[in-house]
Formats: sequence, structure tokens, C-alpha cells
Amino acid sequence: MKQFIPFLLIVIGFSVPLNLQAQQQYLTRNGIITFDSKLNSFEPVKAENSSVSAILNVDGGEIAVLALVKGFSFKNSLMEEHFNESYAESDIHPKTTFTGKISNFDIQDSKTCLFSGVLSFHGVEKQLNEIPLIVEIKNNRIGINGEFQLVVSDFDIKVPRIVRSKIPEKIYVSINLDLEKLNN
Amino acid sequence: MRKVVALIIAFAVVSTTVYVCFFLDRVAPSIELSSAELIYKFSMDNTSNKSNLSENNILLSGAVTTVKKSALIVDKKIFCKFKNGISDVKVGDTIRLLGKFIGYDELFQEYKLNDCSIVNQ
Repeated sequence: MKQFIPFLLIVIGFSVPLNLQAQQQYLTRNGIITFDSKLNSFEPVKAENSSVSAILNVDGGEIAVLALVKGFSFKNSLMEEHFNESYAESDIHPKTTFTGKISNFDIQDSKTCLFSGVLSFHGVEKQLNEIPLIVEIKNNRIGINGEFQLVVSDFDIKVPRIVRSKIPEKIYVSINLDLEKLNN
Repeated sequence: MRKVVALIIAFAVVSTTVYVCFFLDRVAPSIELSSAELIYKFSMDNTSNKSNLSENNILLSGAVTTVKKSALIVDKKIFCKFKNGISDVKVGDTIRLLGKFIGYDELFQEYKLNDCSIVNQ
């Protein structure tokens, strides 16, 4: 039996930190990101992606969010086609990501937290600083909700002159993540 | 008067042709694949193959490995998000479903299908 004790200690030694690390991650595959021009036009530029993935590491407040560009659906299918082919070029740049950190995150406390990190879209990386989003701590779940603005020209998106009046300079992005505790 | 009628008929013929050529053509056809075939097609370093996957609806067949509220994971690798809720599907079932391929999710290392619906066998 004594021969097995060091072996057992090694097994426990390896499994405990792995377990702790696993408990501190929250994730979702069904997050929602919407972007909206909020212009009163006949056909508003508005799309929603409801299969956004996100992983939050509670320990350090690090977060990674990934949305597949082809997952954005528009009411108007022709607008969706133009978005994918001409503006977002989703065959060349299939994903948009955000990797960053929540500066004042506290697992015990629901409050507005500040998100800083790098947003990548259309092959362009843009540093975002202190974006305020509401973090709601629920039982084994964490909700992240809020809205922020982006400038279209920051992402190297070429808008033909003929449609320039229809494409807004600023776009409102709203995010709604319901992260679930990783159980294993 | 005859000229006007001829013009109207000509306009009707032209507009019907345009409609048939450009709009009916947009109804995406579907290609039937297994999970392994989908992964293989995506892994091939060929952009026309990849756009072929996303331009068509995918008729996927495979075994259900995870059941979620409005999503299924097929063969541990294909995440299928449904338009509506899912009923009467259990882990281990073999299913056929129709969905739109949107790409590869590097965070979860899964291939994603959107707007899925179950197709009767």
C-alpha cells in the first residue's frame, strides 16, 4: 500500500489544479451580438448573430469572444449578401474576435465593469479601452450586456460613393452573453 | 394601340426572364454530407470549396453527442443551432438535418451550422 501513496499524491497533485482551473471558466455558444445603424432609413442596416462563442476566465477576468461573420443575419437577404461579399468579405475574414480583460471584475458583485482589449474585424485590429458593460452575477451564470459604438472607417471597409449616404459612419454594437459555469 | 400591347407583352416577357434568371436562382440548393465529409471539405486548402460549403444548404447526417436547449452537437464536432426548440432528440440518435454552414469556431474547435431544422428520414 505504501508504494501507492506517492503515486496517489502525484495524481491528486495534478488533478486539483486542473479542477480549480476548470471551475473558474464560464462559457457560452449562444451569445447575441447585434449591430444597428439606428438611422431612420427605409431599409435600416441591422443584423444579429445569435451563435456567438465566449469564454470568461473568472480568475483574472480575461475574456475571449468569437463571432463568425456569416452568422450575422439581416432581414433583407440581398443586404446580407452585399455585407458578406463587398464589405465584411467573410470568405477572406471569416471571424470577428474580441480578446481582453475586465478591469474591475468581481465574481461576488453585479455591477458595470470596464472591458479593454483588441477587437478584430475585417483583418483589422482595433484597441478598445474601458468599454462599460453590465456584468450580472447569477447562480452559476454570468450575464454580460451593453452597447458601444464603432466607427466603420476604422475597419478598412470600402464603401462605394453611390451608397455612401446609406452606410452610416458609426454603428451601434450591442452584446448579450449568458455565460454558464463549465462543469468538469 | 397594337404597339402598346406589343410593348406590354415584351416588357412582361423580359421581366419574367429576369426574375427566373436572377431570383429563382438564389434559392440555395443543398448538398448532402456526413460530419467527416464536411470537416474534410473545410480542411482542404481551397477557397472555392469553402465558399461552396457556405453558399449551399448542408444536409448533414450524423450521431447526436450533446443536446442543448436550441442546439445539438453532432459527432462531437458539428455545432448545429436550431431556428426553434428541439424535441424528441436524444444523445445517440442518428439524425439528418438541414442547416447553413457559417464556419469554424476556434474557441470551441467546432464547425457551426445555423438555422437548422430536422429532416424526416
